[in-house]
Amino acid sequence: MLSIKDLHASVEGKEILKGLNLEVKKGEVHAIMGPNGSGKSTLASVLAGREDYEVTQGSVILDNQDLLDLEPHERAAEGLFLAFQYPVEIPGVSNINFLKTAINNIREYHGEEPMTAKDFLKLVKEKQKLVELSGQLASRSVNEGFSGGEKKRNEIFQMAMLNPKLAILDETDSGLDIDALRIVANGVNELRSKDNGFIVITHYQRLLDYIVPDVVHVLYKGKIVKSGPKELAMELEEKGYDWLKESELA
Amino acid sequence: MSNTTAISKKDAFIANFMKRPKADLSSNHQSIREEALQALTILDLPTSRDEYWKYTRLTSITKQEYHHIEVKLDALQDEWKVEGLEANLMVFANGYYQPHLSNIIDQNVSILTLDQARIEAYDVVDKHFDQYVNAQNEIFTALNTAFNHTGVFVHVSKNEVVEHPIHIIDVVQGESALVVPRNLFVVDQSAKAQIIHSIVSNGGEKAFVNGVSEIVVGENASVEYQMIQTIGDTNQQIQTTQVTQANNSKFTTGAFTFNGQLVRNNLNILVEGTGCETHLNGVYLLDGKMHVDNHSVVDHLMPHCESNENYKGVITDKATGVFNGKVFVRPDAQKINAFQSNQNILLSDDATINSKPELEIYADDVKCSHGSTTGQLNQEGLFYLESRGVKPQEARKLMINAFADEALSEVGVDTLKEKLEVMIADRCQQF
Repeated sequence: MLSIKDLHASVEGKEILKGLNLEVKKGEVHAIMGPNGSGKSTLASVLAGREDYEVTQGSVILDNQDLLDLEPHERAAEGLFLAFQYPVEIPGVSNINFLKTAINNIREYHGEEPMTAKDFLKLVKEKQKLVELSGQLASRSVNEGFSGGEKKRNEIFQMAMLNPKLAILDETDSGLDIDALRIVANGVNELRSKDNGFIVITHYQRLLDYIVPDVVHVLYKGKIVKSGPKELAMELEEKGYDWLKESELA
Repeated sequence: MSNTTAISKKDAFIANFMKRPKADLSSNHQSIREEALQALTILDLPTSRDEYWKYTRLTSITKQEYHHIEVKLDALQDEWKVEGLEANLMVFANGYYQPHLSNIIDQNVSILTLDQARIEAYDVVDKHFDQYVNAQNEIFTALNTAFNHTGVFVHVSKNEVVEHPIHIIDVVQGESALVVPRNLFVVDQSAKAQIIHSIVSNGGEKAFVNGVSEIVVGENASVEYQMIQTIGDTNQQIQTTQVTQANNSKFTTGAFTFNGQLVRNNLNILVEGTGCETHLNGVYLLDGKMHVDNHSVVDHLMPHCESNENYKGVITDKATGVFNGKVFVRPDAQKINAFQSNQNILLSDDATINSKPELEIYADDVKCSHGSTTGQLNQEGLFYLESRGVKPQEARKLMINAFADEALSEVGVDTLKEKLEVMIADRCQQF
């Protein structure tokens, strides 16, 4: 479904991704781990189309569509979703109003009629249960005054509403206590299906106890240097990354 | 030589006002008018060398010729009204009262034209008319005092509440109309009133509206005065609002400006009582070559008061905004909380804002803050919305809309708030 080939990307002239390859098939969850500065968040930003990142080489294909040719909103319409590491607070824009606009813009992109108000509210009701988000939070301004946990739950709520083909969770577990982590992970697990895929970017193995990946990759200096089954995450947690660096250098 | 030219320019401008026959006034009001006329012989037209007018050039107003155009309106357009609001309606066209379109529901208060009030509520008018504005030092106020058409008089007696909001609609029509409305609102002790003031255009071109309102907020009284300016792209307005607040009173006001070639709002609030609450809000949404200038003064004379000022502007194309907000805290005014904010979003390279929030504090136990921000839309916020599938233009609209809507929090009439939300959203479609 997603195929990243030889991806090179720079920020302010500095190359961060240096030939990254990754294949995600439908129904799979891939975890990407790696030390600070290895390029994890850059990968997420490049895929979502953040402005400051320049792709110098390579391709990113989602179901026959090259994402790199598209604007951020078009990538979303093609089925890509990025859960932000730091969700943005937008005072005055209500969550509900914003989601309605997003859903209807995506439907318009596919030549579909806008969703009726009734269907939309039904969907909201159904999906907010998934992440135990109260109706009050759902109707407030986007992330304004939300706690860290509420912000991350709101990301998963939005993901559930948009039902993407491929979701990238960028350090969604950072700053979460164990209860919030469980709620977020449950939400993701409920959404897993044979038709979609996930890339879970994380620093800690802890999240992978709850969202069990099919494949774990280690990103180091802008490349994937090792891939393996879920046990690889445990090994990284125990040994750190140094042994990999050494073997990489060897 | 240059002096002579200046004088003749002023005289030519004043001659526009003099075209209308003088009203038949009581001797007292005739003397007020004569004092204003006297002041006009001394006062000059301001230039950009005057600090008060530094960023607003008045040539576009003063160089034109105007006429007093008496009209009878056939009907009110729906967009001038507030949908779903049952209101006491007072309608004027080019300054002339339109009794057939006006409608007073509440009988426990006096809602009259100022002309009627000079006869029917003589004592109240006599006590308050022209007692608060400064016709001796301000030329546009002097012009209004000397030559006003008429306007709205509201008197709410002690302990009375105006159940339905009072909606004043000032319509501008025809070519080069000179409109000089004068309003007086007197709200006595423990009384309450909500007033909406719309200034609209019915295909009017090149008009000049020189309005003055005096608002007297009695002890423990509550007054809300919201002004909606949709005056039209070639029309100009200078609107002076003078407010005085007695002990424990509450005054809330807003200026919502959607268009106008040149609009200048002078809002002066004298907080003479202790324990008062004052809210000032404004939104200006400007494109083309519009010029909108909001000058406000909140003068705290007494302790234990709170004032809250929040003006927001969105400016694009070659439009210009001016904000000058002054808060005085006098030596006796201890325990004052005064907050002042002016925020602007500039959407084009040629858009301009001159923003000057000022605090002058002469007391030592006060909490005051002021701030002004000017910037572009939050890029991180835009990317967040777009990354969820919202089209870039929609994302912009959502954010501009949200920014402006924040200044609506003190609008107490729900139907008006809804109307303003829709008007702001519609206006944002054009940015």
